[in-house]
Amino acid sequence: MKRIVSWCLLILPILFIIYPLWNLLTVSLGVSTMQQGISLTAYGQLLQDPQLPTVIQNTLYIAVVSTIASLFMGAMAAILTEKTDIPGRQGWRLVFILPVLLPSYVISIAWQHWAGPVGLVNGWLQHLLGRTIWNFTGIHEIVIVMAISHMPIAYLLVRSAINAIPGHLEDAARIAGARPVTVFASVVLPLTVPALANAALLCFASALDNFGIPAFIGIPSGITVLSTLIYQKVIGLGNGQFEQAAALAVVTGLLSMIPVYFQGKIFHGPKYSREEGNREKRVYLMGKWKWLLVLLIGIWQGVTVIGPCIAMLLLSLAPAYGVPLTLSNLSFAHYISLWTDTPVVAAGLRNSLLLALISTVVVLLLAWPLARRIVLAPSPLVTFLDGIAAVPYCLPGMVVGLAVLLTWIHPIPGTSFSLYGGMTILLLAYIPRFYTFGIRTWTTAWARFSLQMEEAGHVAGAGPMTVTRRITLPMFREEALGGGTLIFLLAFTELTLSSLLAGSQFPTLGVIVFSMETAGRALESAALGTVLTLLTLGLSAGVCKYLLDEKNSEEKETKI
Amino acid sequence: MIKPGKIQSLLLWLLFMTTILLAGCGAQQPAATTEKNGEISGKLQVYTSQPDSDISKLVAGFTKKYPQIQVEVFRSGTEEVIARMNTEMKAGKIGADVLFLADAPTFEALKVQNLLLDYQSGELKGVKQELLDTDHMYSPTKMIPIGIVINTNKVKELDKVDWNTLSESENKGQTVMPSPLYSGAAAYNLGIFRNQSELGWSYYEKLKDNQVMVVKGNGDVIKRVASGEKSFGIVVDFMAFNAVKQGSPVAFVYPKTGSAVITEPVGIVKTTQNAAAAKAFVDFVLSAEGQQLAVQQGYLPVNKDVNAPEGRQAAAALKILNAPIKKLVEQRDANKKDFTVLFGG
Repeated sequence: MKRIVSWCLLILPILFIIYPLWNLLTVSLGVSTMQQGISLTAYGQLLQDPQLPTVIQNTLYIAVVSTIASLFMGAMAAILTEKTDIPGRQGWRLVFILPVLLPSYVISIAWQHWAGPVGLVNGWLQHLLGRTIWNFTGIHEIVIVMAISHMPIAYLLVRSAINAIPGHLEDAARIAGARPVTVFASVVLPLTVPALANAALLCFASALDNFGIPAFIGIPSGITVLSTLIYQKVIGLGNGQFEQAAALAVVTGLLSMIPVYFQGKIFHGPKYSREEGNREKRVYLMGKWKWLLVLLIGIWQGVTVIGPCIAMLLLSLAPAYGVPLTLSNLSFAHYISLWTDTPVVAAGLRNSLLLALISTVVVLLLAWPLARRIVLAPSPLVTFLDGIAAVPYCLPGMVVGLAVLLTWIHPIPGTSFSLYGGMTILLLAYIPRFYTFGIRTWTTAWARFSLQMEEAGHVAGAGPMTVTRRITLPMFREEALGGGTLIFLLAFTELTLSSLLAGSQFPTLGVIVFSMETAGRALESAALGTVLTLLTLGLSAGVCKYLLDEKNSEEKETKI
Repeated sequence: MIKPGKIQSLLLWLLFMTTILLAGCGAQQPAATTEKNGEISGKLQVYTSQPDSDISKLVAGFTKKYPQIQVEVFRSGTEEVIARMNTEMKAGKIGADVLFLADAPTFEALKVQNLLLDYQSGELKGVKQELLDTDHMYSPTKMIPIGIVINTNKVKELDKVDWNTLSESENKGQTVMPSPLYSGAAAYNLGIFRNQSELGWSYYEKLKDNQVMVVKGNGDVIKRVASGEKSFGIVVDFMAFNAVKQGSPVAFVYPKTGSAVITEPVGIVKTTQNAAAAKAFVDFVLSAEGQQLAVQQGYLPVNKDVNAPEGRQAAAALKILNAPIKKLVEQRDANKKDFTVLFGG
């Protein structure tokens, strides 16, 4: 039995991760077409494409600028919620994490109705001043929305770096006579540098990966980036573009390797000993300033997150586009028409739920035996498999999607049966894509789990099944719930992979919102966006509350 | 040191079982036609570019008449529907039974590829002879002129608006139009304009110089004009009239120079497993009942015995721009390519 499991752990990644990517490479080299041998025709055509330099330039510009903005905002937010004594920190923390829970296309919709050319804010300004002050369109709008939606990455990393700093370092500086400002600048800040560097790489990679924002904002304003270009080559222009799309995907994949390369070079932050007594963190008293800071933080979150969501909600209640919303003409017609006029929405909801549930369960199940080996019986092969599992998530989603499409679209030899069009091909993309989350979930769980617990069970005479069911799993409930919710949410609102892979008979929610938006059904897509926001927030709030109640841990703080 | 629990192997078995089951789900075999007691039944997949709300009302009317038929709809822009079909052909199976797309040249191209089923509906009596396909591969269902939608808060003199208004420098950056890479109507319009001496390809170049915005679909054009983001939009007429009805601050003008008119044909895919249901669907769209339904949704009917929507000019009263359909089909790909180069995709 052990051998069967081990072979599966080896064979499944080869078949479902390595083979599709290899296939992508061979298609781009023209191996699958008539000519024998390798040809660089597709790459040649790509180079001649007058669009390509602009597209690469757009992609890099957006990635670099949005990364800088995300870093700045994330670091500021982390300092404010972790190192000051401003009131209501728990609430601010949740709002700062919020953008990472929402799919980026929902943020795009919300932002357009908030600060777009005819958004709520410009409407107010027009009313108050008789003119608009700014006109965010095109590439700047993409940069802003991307910075907002990737800000939580920087926030979370910097926050955990700050919280890991042992209090006695700061105490030592204080005893030596440094003022709080000096302590902060010369002790705390330098210790966050590795986290900032990591956050920069992650934000950059996420920006290359993102499809929702350039698709919802970029396509209408004629700004093309690599992910939308691949999509358009496959979906927009029809036949004969597969080889070129594959070549483009290979180029994009190589570009996304830049951050991975640097990841290895980064100095990984200091490891602190986790003795009791070091855990207390030091916060800085802001005195009278704290209310000013609260005001600033409130405005900041109002402008970047809460305002857009409210704008989306208000628009979804308007009777028709361009008609100002008043209390008397407020209408739920668009919510109703989501169900009555568009049966596809109900189908999409069902499909996405099913996909998310199956992906979550399968990912967690498949990751279990590998994670166990990673923690308990590490070997070069196991480390290699762990690395392979991370590949589909490190590569941009559009590249993975295209690889899966090209690999599984053709009818199975000898039959007319193809995986394309149904749920299977989507699962073949979702499961490899989220596999690494499953592994991370279980490895963190096992890392804090003492093997003696299991052995105690064995000694007491319980079989392996009983031990897993009665001892191991209950201990892992927290991690399983957290990791599972993350995978579920990612799969439920997925757009990038499904935009290529969802056939006409099996649309996903993301694809439906996308097609509504391109069809100009802004009021309905705002309504659906609002529903998705509420669902996502409800689910994650429920899980957070459950986990917090479970932990019941209190933060210890000392003020300086 | 660690014995792998039996649970692991059990889980893997479960996984394989689910994979096999799922593979089964992927292979949704189309239900073959069953005509019990003369009643048509089974599944019918329609690929269309009609707005969701319009097609769902049409389907509701159809299934009321044929309760045994389950209709499923896939909606996208015409060009994307075609791209989807090309992808499906690579997968070895076209999912559609019925195609209901923007314009005749699209169907001509499908006819050349031998993808359509020959069917002459009995409901074509009221349709003008010159609109019909001589090979009976597809049938026109409506008359949809393409004109200009105007935001009435921003523009007051509606009568003067013609195609040239959009390329005048005082209206720089004020026009939005759908992309011929997505919308069949826009692709048709481009084809027709290219063959008119007074407009031509240079008209598109002038629009580009005048900073026209290109969005994907016609609906998006309406949205941006209704919200006041843009003053003018090139768009299919019924969407604009429906926006007026809903209270959006817009008006629609048929330009004096003339309009390209798409006919939103319907056709049956040759590989259909349910030809009886597909034919019933085509008949229903063309029937007096189907035409009345279209009129209620703001379309000009193709059947001249059915009246235009209240307060609207009949199709016969409009100046229509034309070009030989063969030429339009031949030029389509080149048009799209030139458009991509000019506007950058």
